[in-house]
Amino acid sequence: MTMDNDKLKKLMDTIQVPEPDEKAREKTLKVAVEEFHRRQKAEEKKVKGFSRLRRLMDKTLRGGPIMRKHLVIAGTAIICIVLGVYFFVGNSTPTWAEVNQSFASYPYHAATVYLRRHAFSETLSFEFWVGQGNRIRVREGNRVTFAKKGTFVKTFDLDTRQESYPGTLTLEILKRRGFMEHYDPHPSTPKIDAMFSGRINENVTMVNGGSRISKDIVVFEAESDEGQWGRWKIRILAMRSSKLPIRISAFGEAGMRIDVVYSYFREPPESFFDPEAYEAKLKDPSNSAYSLLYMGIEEPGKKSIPHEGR
Amino acid sequence: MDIYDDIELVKLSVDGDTEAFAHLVKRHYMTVYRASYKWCGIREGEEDIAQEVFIKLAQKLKTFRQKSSFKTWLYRITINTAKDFHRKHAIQHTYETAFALEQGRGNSTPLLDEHLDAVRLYKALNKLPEKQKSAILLVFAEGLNHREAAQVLNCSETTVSWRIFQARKRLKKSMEHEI
Repeated sequence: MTMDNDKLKKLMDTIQVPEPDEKAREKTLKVAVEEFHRRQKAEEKKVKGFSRLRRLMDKTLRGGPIMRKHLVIAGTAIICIVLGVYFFVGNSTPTWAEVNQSFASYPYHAATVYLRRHAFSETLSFEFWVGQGNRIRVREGNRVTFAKKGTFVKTFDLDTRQESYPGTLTLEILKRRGFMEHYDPHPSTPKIDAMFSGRINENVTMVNGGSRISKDIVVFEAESDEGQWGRWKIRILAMRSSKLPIRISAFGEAGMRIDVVYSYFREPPESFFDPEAYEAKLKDPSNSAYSLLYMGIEEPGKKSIPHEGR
Repeated sequence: MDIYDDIELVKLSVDGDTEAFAHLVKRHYMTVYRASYKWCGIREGEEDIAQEVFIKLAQKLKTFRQKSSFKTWLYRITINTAKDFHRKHAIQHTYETAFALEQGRGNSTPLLDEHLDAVRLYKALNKLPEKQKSAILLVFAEGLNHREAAQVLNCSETTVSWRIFQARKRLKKSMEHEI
C-alpha cells in the first residue's frame, strides 16, 4: 500500500547534494550581513523618529480592513508616550529648595549619626527620632534622652533605670547653636541646615546629573561657613521621586566626619516621645533593658525592634 | 564564536553583534543549502533560496521567540522560501531535467541505477501536494522527528503523520508507474 520507511530513507540517500559554489556562499554571507546592517540602522531610525507610530497613524488614516487593529496599537502607543512623559516629568530633578521643603513637610523621621573626630579616631554613633511638635528622642549607648521645643526634658540610664544626664554626643550635637531651634516645624526653616547650625551657605550644587545613580538619587554639594568646628564640605543624597534626603555626609578638617542616615516612618504613638510614660515602663521590671532601648517603635511590617531572639 | 550555541548567537545578533550574525549564517549555510536543494533540485535554485533565507533571517531575527529550536525555526523559513521560489519560478520539467543532469555530474557513466532512483524519486516528490512533500522531506531527508516537523510546518504531530502516510502511498504509486 505505502512505500516502506527504510526503502524511502534509502531512496532519499540516493539524492546527492552537490558541493555549494564557494562564490555563491560568500555572496550569501555578504548580502545577509548587509541586510543585517541595513536592518540595524532602520531600527535605530525607528526608535529615534517614532516612525512606527507615524506609519501606524498613516495606515489608520487611510483606513482598510485592519484599521481597528492599527487604531488599538496607535492608541496604546500614545498612552505609553503620555505615561512616559508623565513619568519623566514626575521624576524631574528636584532642586535644593524642593528637597528642603519635602523634608520639612514630612512629619516624622529617624536618623542614625556616625561621627569621627579625626581621621584615625574610633567612629561614635547615636540615633534620634523626630516627631510632630518639635519632640525629639535620642538614644546614645544605654541612655535615652527626651527633648521638646528646644529643651532637654529627661534622660534615663537603662542600666540603673534611673534618671541620668544626656550622653556626650547628645549634648554636643543637640546643644549646638541652632540645632534644636531649627527643628521648629516652621515651614520657612530649612531643617537640613539644622545639622550644621544653619551655616550651610547658599551655594548648593547638584553634582551627579549624568551618572547612572542619578536615575534614583540626586546629589547636592555644599560648604558650611566657618564655625566652631571649622569649615565643612557637605554632600547630601536625596531620592529623586520623594525629594527626601537619605544621607548627609560632612567632611571637616583633619579627617573629621559626620554621616547622618535618614529613614522615614509612620506616626509613632504619643507615648513614644513622652518621658513620663517611658519612666513608668522603666520601673516595670518585666520590661528588659534591651526592649526599653527602642520601646514604642514599630518598623514596617509591625515588628518591634530590636529583635531579642525570642 | 564556536563556543556559543545558536540561542546565544541569536541574542548577540539581536543586540547588534555582526560577527555573531555572520557566524550564525556560516554555521547553518549547509543545512539551508541541502534542504533547499532537496526541495528544488538544482544548484542555482538552492543558492538563490539560501540567499533569500538568510536575508529573511536578518530581517526576522528579532521575532524569534524560542518556542522551538533555532534550527527548527530556520527550517520553517527555508521551507516557506523554497515553496515561494518553486511557485514563482518553477517550470517543473526543466527542473527535473536539470536535476537528472546534476545527479549524473562527475560520473563516467552518466546515470547509474541509484541516480535513476534519485531522479525517479525527485519526479515523484514533485507530484506530491506541497504539504506532503514538506513533511516527507523534513522527516526522511532532514531526519527530523514528527514533533520537530510539526513545529516547522506549524501543525500537529498527528497531521504530520497523516501527511507522511498519504505521501508514502502516493510515492509508491508514482514510482511503480515510473518503472
